[in-house]
Amino acid sequence: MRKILLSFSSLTAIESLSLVLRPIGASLSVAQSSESMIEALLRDEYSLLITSHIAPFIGGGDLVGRLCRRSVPRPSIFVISHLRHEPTLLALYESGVDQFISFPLSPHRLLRKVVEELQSRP
Amino acid sequence: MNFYAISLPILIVLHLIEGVALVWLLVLRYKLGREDNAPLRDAMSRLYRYAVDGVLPAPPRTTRRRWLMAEALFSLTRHLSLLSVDERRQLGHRCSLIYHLLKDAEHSDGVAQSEALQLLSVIPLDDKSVERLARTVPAEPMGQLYRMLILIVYSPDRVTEIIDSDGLHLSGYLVPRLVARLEECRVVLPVRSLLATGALLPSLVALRVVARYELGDYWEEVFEALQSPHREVRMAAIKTLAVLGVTIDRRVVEATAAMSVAERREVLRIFLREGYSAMALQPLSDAEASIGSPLAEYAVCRTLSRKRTLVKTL
Amino acid sequence: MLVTILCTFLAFVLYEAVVLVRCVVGLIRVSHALRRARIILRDGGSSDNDDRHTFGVSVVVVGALSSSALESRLAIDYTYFELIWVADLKEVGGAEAILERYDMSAVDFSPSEGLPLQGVRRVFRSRARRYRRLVIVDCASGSLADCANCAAEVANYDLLVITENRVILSPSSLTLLVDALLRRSDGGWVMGLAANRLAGSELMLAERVLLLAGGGARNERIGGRIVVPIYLFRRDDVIGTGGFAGSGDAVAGLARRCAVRSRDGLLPLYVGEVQSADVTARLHINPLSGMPIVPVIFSQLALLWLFTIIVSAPFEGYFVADVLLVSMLWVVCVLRSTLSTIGAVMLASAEECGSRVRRVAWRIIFSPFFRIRDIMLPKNFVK
Repeated sequence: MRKILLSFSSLTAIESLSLVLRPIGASLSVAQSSESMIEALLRDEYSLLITSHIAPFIGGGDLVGRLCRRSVPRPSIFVISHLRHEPTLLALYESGVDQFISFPLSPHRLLRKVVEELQSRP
Repeated sequence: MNFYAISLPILIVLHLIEGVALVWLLVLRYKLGREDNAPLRDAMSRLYRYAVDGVLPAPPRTTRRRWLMAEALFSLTRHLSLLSVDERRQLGHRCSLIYHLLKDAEHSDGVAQSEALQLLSVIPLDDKSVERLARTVPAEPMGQLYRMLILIVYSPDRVTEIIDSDGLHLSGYLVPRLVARLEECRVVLPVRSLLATGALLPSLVALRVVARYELGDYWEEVFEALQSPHREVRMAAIKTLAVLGVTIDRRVVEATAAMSVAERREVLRIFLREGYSAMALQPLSDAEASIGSPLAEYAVCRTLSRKRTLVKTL
Repeated sequence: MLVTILCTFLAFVLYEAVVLVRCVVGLIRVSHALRRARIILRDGGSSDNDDRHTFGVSVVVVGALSSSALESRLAIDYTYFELIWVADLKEVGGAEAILERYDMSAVDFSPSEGLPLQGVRRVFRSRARRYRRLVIVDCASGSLADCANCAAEVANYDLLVITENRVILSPSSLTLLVDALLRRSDGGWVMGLAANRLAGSELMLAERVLLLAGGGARNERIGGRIVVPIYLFRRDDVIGTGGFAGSGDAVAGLARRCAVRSRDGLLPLYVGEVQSADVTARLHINPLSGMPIVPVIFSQLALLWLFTIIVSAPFEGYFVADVLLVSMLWVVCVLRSTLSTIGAVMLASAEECGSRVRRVAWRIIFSPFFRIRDIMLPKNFVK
């Protein structure tokens, strides 16, 4: 079964996305803080990470690099945020983020993207 | 009369009540520590089912459940484009959210009032409710912002008048938030008429819109804003010109000549932050040099401090 | 004489009733506010909203840092933010590795703000876009004032926060500080508190102590824990007053020169943590912290036992003993009520409740006792 990790500091964002992703049937895990998100990613294997935390990617932690160096495939990474700052968005892509989506998002569009991403993984 | 036989029951009753109150607070504190989110999750599931399957949720019976429903609606609207305007209106009436939130907004103050208005901002109101809201003037800036947002969404053709209303003291830092919320509500702002008022808040809102969407059609209006008597408007106009990529020419130099040293330094920093080179800022530097100002070499120094030289590291 | 006893008794009952009513009313309002405050205030602190971050902040860290410590300082969730690390790199172990990790290269340094600068060797900026918010200043001077002036010189943004290497700001700290600063119409500066998590009453006390010290000292000890004030300044104010100065607390000194403003009734902002070897300074939230359980239970039992004796004892005709007994009962009950009320307020004023709840609880229940605490505060509390 596919495992998806949701990590948002906003509790209501987590609940909203949980409702949207329920039809996929994947196992949903939740981490509210960025520290617990990093801990969960390094401990378990996830197919997809959906988060609003940007500091782990551009704060020098090289999170994606650490995930790549493990023996298991790294998860796909979606960042969903209200962010509009272009240099930060470019920095996120450079750091290895796969997709950036801004709030408010269309549930159908998100569902479609997530399904496509999970299907494209081995 | 046995004095102690009378006093004992009274005292025991008082002590018992206080003991119960303390235990109650301990339980509450413990529950808060556990962070039980089940009621919120339940409210959000009902709304989601309404959006997807059309099953209208039952009206909440307690204040707490009504508040949770309002919060769930607010968060679903901000995070997901899920419920249409009509669906939210129907929900607002069916669950009495409009009535109670409006009552909260009228009878409370401070942060409580701002919160009620914040939750009300995602529910379309009817005429009567808007009239009641128009009579409520919050003291908190966030409350003022949400009240303004609700009134604008209700009558978008009166946006200039609403933003320019007397008694509203939104500071410049709330302007980006107001513009972002208006964007989410798909309200089109009349930039020219806002700038034409010459007032502080409408000008800031208009300049923020021009900068955010890089609307190059409003050059002249932005240049006129440089003559505004308000410092915040002048700086916002400079920022907007910098974002639009204006060429520093005689017009810009003349417009900044009347500013104080601190303002002119800020102007240089704004342009530098937007990526202007020292050469592009030469007209401003020359103007500074001509009056013997210490800012003559400012742009050159700041630009040099970004350049990398080939130096061995440690 | 019976009238005297009855009056004493009525006064006692009245006092008990008032305390009880205040406690119960306060608890009801606290409970109501707790339930309402949970979601909105919690999400209100979230920094998911880009539109709140339109003012850039330069956070300055002075002192030696390890690679992981630097990484945690970069974890602030704020859009327009840069971290300026000022240290003597020759004294920092692993400095070369840090420079390599963040792809830093030296840039020219040309002072332009007229600040007094001492000991600046080099300034480093990153080639990589994703690390552009890190600036490293190699400064030979160990003085906080000199380091802070160097940072103010190279800062890109208009707001400055100066911290030492033992302070970590929380991810939402800048949002809180900027919101507080810009809510003022009179400018000035704002203060947050970095401490290991304090209970509500300690936080209030810390704030009062720091304000009494005239803008704050470098650190204070409150209940065995270190509290450090964190100031957010406008960069123009720093340049306008000639920069940081003094061999003591340069940051507080600048706050004093920038004309200390009133707090406008804002409660202190908890914006970060102080790393300390102090054993008591570990983060630990006990749901029962501050509640004097044992004394309250003991006094309740003792009181009931006393009443039982009184009711069954043959005190008829012994007037003096009656008065003494009633007085003793009154004193015991007052003490017991005081303890339990203080405990209830300490519980209610836990940080998670939010500032509005705390204000309600304090105003309704605790205000008379706060004055007692003021009187009890030692005069030489501030170092």
